[in-house]
Amino acid sequence: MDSKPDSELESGQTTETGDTRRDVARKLGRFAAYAAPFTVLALSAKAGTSSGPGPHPRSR
Amino acid sequence: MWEFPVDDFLVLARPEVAGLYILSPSARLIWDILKTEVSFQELVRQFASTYGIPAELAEQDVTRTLDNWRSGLLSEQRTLSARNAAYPEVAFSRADYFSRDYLIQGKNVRVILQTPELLEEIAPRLGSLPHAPSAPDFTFRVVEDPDGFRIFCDACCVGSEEGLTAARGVLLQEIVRRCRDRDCLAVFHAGACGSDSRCVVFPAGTQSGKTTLAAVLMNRGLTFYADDSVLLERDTLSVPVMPFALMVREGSWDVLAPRFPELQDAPVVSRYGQRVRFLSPAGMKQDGHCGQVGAIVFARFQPDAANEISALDHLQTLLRLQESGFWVAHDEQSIRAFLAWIQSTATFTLSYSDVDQAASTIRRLIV
Repeated sequence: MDSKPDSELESGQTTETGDTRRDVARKLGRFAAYAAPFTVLALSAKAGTSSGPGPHPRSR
Repeated sequence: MWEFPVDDFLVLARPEVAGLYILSPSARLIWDILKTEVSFQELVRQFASTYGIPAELAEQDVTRTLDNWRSGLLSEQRTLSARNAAYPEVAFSRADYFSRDYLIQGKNVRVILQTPELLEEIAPRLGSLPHAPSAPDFTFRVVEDPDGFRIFCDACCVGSEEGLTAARGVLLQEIVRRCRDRDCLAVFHAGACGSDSRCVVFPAGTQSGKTTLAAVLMNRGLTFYADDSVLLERDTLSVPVMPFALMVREGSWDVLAPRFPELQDAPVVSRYGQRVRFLSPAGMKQDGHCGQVGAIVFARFQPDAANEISALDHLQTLLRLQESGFWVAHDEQSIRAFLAWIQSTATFTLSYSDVDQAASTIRRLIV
């Protein structure tokens, strides 16, 4: 089967060859718009889930 | 390295480093090309070709991205700590300042606090809980040490935090987790309200209106689940009730006092220079859980803002969660389950200047 154009694929949907919309777009050389790459480290800590300022014991 | 493709971006995690690395779509492309072990010049060429951008721009952005990864994603850092696990036994030498038994989520819980500061921070949250009818099932103790605070359940350390408010947060999370005997897949710095079967989670940073919004939603007939820490339970993906008093800052007294007359009679407490009152409305649900999160709403109060709601994509959802604060169990299966949950949950941003309008919008997502 020919690859579907990327516009016809839903996000996460694949062609019979297993290509995602992203893969198809790359093969066609068509990433719609360029945005500068970035990487964010989402720190995962329960400590970050408490509200309010809290004095550190060493600062008291 | 664990890899989790999501839409056109990528989430990476290292087993020994806490947290998730979120790579934007173009960063993901660099990662994908890098894995093919091509030369730097070929990497830049493919990158420029894919996006149709000048080679100079591609080289600049690829170089910047690789430098960033060398100092973080690909560095030798090790941040996961075994501090908690390596603390199985402890001698509690200091006298206890406070000890009281409560009935929480059907279990008898004894809470022991070691200092007046801990009492001030934690006890008001517990004030309206029923007293335990018999001997405790669990004893939680918070102790202070040179590095901060440690939270113990019976003889085991279940958390250590540098700050007092963080210690309070983890204590309340751990109490509910232990009483329900359910592990958490994730914890969000968020409020949650809803029906008995479906709720909306509204993550937000500190002092951004979560408690006020939760109280208004409760006043309008929704069930209160949390106003600070929302636990997402493993496997069931349910959200348990956090049956603790709401801390209402002075700026919200005028909004909430007409809806909760008892607020005016509540003692005023000075907390880090702010005046607060604690609110435990009659009829507040004390135990149980909500079976499904119907939506995540990043609600933001802005003076003069129209009441506007719009959908968020998954990348923006993760970036917003990172801003508000969240925790995910750090193993491959849990991260995969968490990302699948994010992708299956509708997510919105809501700006508002009228909390009643915001509450109406949120209600429509539930009923």
